[in-house]
Amino acid sequence: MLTPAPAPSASQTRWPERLANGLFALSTLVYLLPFIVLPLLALLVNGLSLGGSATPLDSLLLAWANPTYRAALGNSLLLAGATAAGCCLLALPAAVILLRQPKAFAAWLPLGLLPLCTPPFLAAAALKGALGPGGWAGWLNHPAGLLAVEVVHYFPMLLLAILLPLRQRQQEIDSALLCAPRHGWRFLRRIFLPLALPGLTLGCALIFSRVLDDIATPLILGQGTLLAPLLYLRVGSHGFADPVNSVLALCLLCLTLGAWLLASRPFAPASLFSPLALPPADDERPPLSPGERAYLALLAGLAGLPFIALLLLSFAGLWSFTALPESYTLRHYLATWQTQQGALGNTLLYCGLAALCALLAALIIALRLHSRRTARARRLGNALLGLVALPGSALVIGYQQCYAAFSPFGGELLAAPPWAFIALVLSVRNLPYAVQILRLALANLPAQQLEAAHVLGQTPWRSLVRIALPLLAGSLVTAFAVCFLMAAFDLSTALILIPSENMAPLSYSIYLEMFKTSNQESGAALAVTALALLGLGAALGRQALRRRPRPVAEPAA
Amino acid sequence: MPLPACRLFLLILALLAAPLASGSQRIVVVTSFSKEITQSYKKAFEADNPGLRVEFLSLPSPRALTYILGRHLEPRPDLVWSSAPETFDQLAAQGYLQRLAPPPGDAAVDASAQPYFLAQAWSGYGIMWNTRYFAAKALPPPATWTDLGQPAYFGHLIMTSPARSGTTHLIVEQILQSHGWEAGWQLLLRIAGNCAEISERSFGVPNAVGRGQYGAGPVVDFLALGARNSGTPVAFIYPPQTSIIPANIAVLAAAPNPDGARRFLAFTLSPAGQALLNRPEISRLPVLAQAQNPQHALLPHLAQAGQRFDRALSQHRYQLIGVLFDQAITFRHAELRETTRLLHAADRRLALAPEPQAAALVAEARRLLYRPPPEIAGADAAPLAERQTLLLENQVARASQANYRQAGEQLRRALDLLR
Repeated sequence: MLTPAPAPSASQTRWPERLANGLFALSTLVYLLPFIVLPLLALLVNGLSLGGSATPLDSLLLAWANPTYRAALGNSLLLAGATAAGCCLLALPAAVILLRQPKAFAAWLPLGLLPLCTPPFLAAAALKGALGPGGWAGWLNHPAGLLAVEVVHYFPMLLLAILLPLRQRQQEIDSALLCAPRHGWRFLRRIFLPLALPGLTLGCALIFSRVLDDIATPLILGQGTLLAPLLYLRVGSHGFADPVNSVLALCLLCLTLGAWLLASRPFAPASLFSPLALPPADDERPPLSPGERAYLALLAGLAGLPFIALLLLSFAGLWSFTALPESYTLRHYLATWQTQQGALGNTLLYCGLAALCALLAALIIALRLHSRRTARARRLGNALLGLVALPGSALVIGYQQCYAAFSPFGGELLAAPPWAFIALVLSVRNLPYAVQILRLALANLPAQQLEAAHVLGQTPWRSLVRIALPLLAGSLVTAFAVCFLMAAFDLSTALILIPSENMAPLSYSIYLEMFKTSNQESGAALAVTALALLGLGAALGRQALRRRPRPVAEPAA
Repeated sequence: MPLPACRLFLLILALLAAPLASGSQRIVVVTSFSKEITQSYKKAFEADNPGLRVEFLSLPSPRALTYILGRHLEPRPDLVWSSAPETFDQLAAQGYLQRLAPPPGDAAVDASAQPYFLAQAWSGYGIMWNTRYFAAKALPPPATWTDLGQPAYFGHLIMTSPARSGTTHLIVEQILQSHGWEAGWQLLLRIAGNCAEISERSFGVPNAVGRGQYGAGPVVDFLALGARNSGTPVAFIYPPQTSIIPANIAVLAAAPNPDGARRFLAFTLSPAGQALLNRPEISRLPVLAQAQNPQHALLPHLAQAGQRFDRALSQHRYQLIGVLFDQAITFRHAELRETTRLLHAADRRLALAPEPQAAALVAEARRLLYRPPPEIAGADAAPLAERQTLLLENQVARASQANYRQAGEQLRRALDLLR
């Protein structure tokens, strides 16, 4: 474990035990049973043809007999693996540089966070949209083009996954750097790799599963022979009950879970979600060398390229068969403002609800895991983290099959309040992020203050409200924001689950706007508007957290 | 709880509650049309009918059908509004549609369809091309579907799959019906082999052609005319074998809001609703004669409406055409395109220096490359069961893979001989 938590004191473990137990059971039941266990069972039964009159494994054999699906399996594995490898190639040198430069890392942060909260199809659509009229689209319409787009999109995330856990141990690293070689193979082998490995494997597993689950990017770049895009196309032409769909969904599930299990061997999962500590202002370190600067600038340029293309597209007027637009206009922004207010409102509703649900459940689960630090609780925590890897497209197929099969409810069980269902579905895969953020925040709660409150006769409830919650506020807001963004940009789930533009989370609205009109530019304008609002929200949230009165964390020496 | 964080949470909660509070009645329309059309109708209808809110489920026609037949989750649609007549035929045959009163005035166009669905706009199908792209690459403007199979257009075309686009399905079906199964598939394979990309989205074709990413593609008329009328340098032609088929609208039997649905349907057929079709960015031909723009390019062809198109046959093999196209073309497009490139190269060299052995190899390769999939029996044959469909898919996929591979090998040998 990279971030050692203080040992639990007697007073800390005494949360209102029964209430906590009940809530914990309820939240795991509400989430795990209908949204994970039953759909996966339905997939398993249909995919392996275990129910009904068909011979077992019939659909599996039928799907295997078709060269297209065999090729899709190989292509998907290759693409996801190559993307993870490509990200490593780009991110590792940068991580070596940034490990010694916390300030430069702080400057990198916003860029690294962007891929977490934008879908990769945006990069593909923007690049293709901006390069296409100049006759360069053919370069992207190629497996190598797809790989390039995925790598450019995801490598900042890997960089973050490597460096964020290390930020917690900057002092140790600094002292290690003082007495050990700062360069060369020995530095890599003795210092860098052991430190970076947990984040590296976790980041690679996350990227691997995200790329496997990506529907829109391969389709935009004309590479449909992959598992997730084929699944999406087959749902469109054959419906949800199609047996080959279940086989494809099962394949996706097995691959992502396999990658996750492999990666979970060498790391402690909590490490990815360490809180950020910004470097002190008087930090003095040797400046970056010109070579290092150039490499970082190149990476920043690469990561920023899709966004430059997006911006260009959003202002383009007439743009046909020329390298740059012939005219520029604000028309697309005006149209976005006029027609997309509803979409933004819906995003706020569904994704906000999703984030709230995830936050509530995560708080209950985190409290429970915090108060019971048994091996079982730790295993449960790690298993929960695995939910991140579940492919959304496969899960949605599972939902449809599962709730179509429950005839006592006539398929109406979850139909009654669609907004609540959508919110819960969107929140399931984001739950682990919230749980991890809150677990870490709980682990960092000052035990002395809670102890003191207990000695002074405060009830557990009052110490929760007066001491724990104010200290947790920052993490609660962070967890809410992360869940909200993840839900808003979860295109794989939305593409299959929500066909209505009025219920679409943001990524789906952008997708519709880009591909259901004869001008993609309005979609680009919507995406830029959304990103601008996102930046504004992040700045406001940070401001609010900064102004927050800070309780004294440690007793004065 | 600290005040700023508290306020932030309250603000978020208030924002969340706002959309829930607006309690207007909604009408859900499944449609394949572009946002230009849906937004115009939404705006005009909601202005006329305060208290009613229209929502669109944007689904290509083939998906719309699977959605309505197989969907168990919300939202439940009230209306279907799309170009593909087979969608309506199938829904009506299975009892999914409500009976409707005949349309007012002179809009009655398709007596056989009544009383379950009504024609709302005329659509013709044809070829759209980018005039700048064609000028720069010195390409001749196409006049017929057969032209698109010419070697000159290799790498300059884009099309989408009939499994994803109702309008492309109509185009493919027209080609198959007018040329016959065998010649029709051969032409489709030639055109697809010339395509640089098989787009996943219907709108991918007009978008890519309009922006000059590729030169030309088969589209439904209004997408091309709308782009042209908005200033994009594109041209459009109706090939001689084209059919003119109305886009329809219908109310679903299980509509949660049948009254609202009927009001929306009546609005789309009213003079005000029909006039919306004449907007430059929409450019569709209304069915109501009084609303028709006399300048519309489709008007001179209107006399042929409904001719040369066997709707029963098309409905019978509706899903299978998409399945065959995907297995033989979409999912094997890289191989098909590469083999087509080799074939064009071999043909060029043979024209320069004839060589009998190479010519025989090329002829065999051409036969393999353009071998059509097994014919789907006529409209009166029994439909295929799910397992049979899967077996057919596998058979076509394996045959296409083997054919393209063998054709490629033959062509490489021929090119070696011609070197």
